[in-house]
Amino acid sequence: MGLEAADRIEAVDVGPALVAPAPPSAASRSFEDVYRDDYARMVRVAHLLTGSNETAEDIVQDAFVKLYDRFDTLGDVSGYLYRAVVNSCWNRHRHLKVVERLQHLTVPATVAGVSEIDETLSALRILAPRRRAVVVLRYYADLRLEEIAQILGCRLGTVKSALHRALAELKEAIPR
Amino acid sequence: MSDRDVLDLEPELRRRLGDVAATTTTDEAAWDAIQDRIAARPAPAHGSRRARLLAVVAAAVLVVVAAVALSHQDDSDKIQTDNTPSTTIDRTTTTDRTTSTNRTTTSTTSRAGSTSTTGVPGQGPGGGTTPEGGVNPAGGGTDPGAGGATATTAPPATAPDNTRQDGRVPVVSLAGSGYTMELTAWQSGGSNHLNVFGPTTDAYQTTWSWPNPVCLAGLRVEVAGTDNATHSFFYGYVTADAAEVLIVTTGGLSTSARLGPEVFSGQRPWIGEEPPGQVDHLEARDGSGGLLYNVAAPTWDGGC
Repeated sequence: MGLEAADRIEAVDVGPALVAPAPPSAASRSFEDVYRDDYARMVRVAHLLTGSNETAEDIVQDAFVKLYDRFDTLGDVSGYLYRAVVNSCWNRHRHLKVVERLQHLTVPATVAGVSEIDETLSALRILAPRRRAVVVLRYYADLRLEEIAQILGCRLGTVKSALHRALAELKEAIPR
Repeated sequence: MSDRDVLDLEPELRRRLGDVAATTTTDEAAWDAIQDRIAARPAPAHGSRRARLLAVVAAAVLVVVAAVALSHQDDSDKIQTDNTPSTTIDRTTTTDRTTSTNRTTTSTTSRAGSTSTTGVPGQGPGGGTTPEGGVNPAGGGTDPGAGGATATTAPPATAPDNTRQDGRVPVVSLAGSGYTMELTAWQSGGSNHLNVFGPTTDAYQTTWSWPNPVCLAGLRVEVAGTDNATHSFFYGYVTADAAEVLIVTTGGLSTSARLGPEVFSGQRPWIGEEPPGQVDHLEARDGSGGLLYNVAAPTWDGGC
């Protein structure tokens, strides 16, 4: 796929692993509570990761279906959702590349600079998937680097490195 | 980039990401959509005793039908039934298990079955490709008299016999000492899914999905076998032109996976036992042995 090894996100099963410290209320929340608390936030994260609101909703709804089957076994459902959403966004990214390859399609270049929103999305799009995920989880979801490492299934050092490189790239892409 | 640059950029990034996120809209019917998707997903088999009894009777009938069918086929058409005959499973006739004694490479070969006579979705007149369920037996896949029927409905809540508890016929199975692994497949939301059963039939292990299509994609699953040993497998999808999927270790050991039929357009499921040692990569080869794809950790996906 032409990606550096450091930029890949491990395609692991979003199993019942705990990916972040469980909030005290996690065990007492119902599935509907989780939907009410987390759905919109997860869609926003997925939107930032994919650049598409519609795709984001599809991914998050799929994540909730997966969550439903494991709900009783999870201690930290939010961590699970983050992991499922990030992995699905990454899968979607790879899917687009495969489709482009197989169907000889050319994905039209995004027109940047139309607005600051577009400019930001374009800047995110130039980042490799892992770097993009690190940036979004750190600066939008406000997660700690250790939590991000658990969600992405990589080492803390890898997250720090990815963040550093991402910021260097964004510095050029985002005028201040 | 200096620390000062980072400090300058961080608040700007936070603001911009927040601004983009603020434009995100959510569907008011999302909750209903999730409920619909949950209802449409494979359901565990919690059938009544009556349903189970009917399933047993149906199984007996199918066993007889399968036995009769097999007895009328010549040798090249025989189907390995693995105790669970099915007209939609692409069983292999032989398993060529070869262990080299003078090299460091051990190769276990399971060739893709091409001998199934009915019900291979997407292949031949007997196949019924199902846009949603793929190999949904409710569409006639297990009914010898209904070959070619296209299934469009969700699988039954209670699994008829010779199907797994998710209500679908396994599309590929792999049996060895201490395990019988089986995969069921379906599509939803633009993704191809696989459920993994093992080490015995009906023992659900895990599930995973990949966007449709993939070139070669796999995932690792580990099960405790009936022999109390741990068995590790890779499973996934590969393009239909692949004749072999190999699981290759850093030490050069390789195992050839068993391929299922083309359950979805251009996509075949596969599963293979992990060879001893550290797996280095997966590779798909065509009928001439030519390398099609080579994928490695950590994504185990892509290759094209």
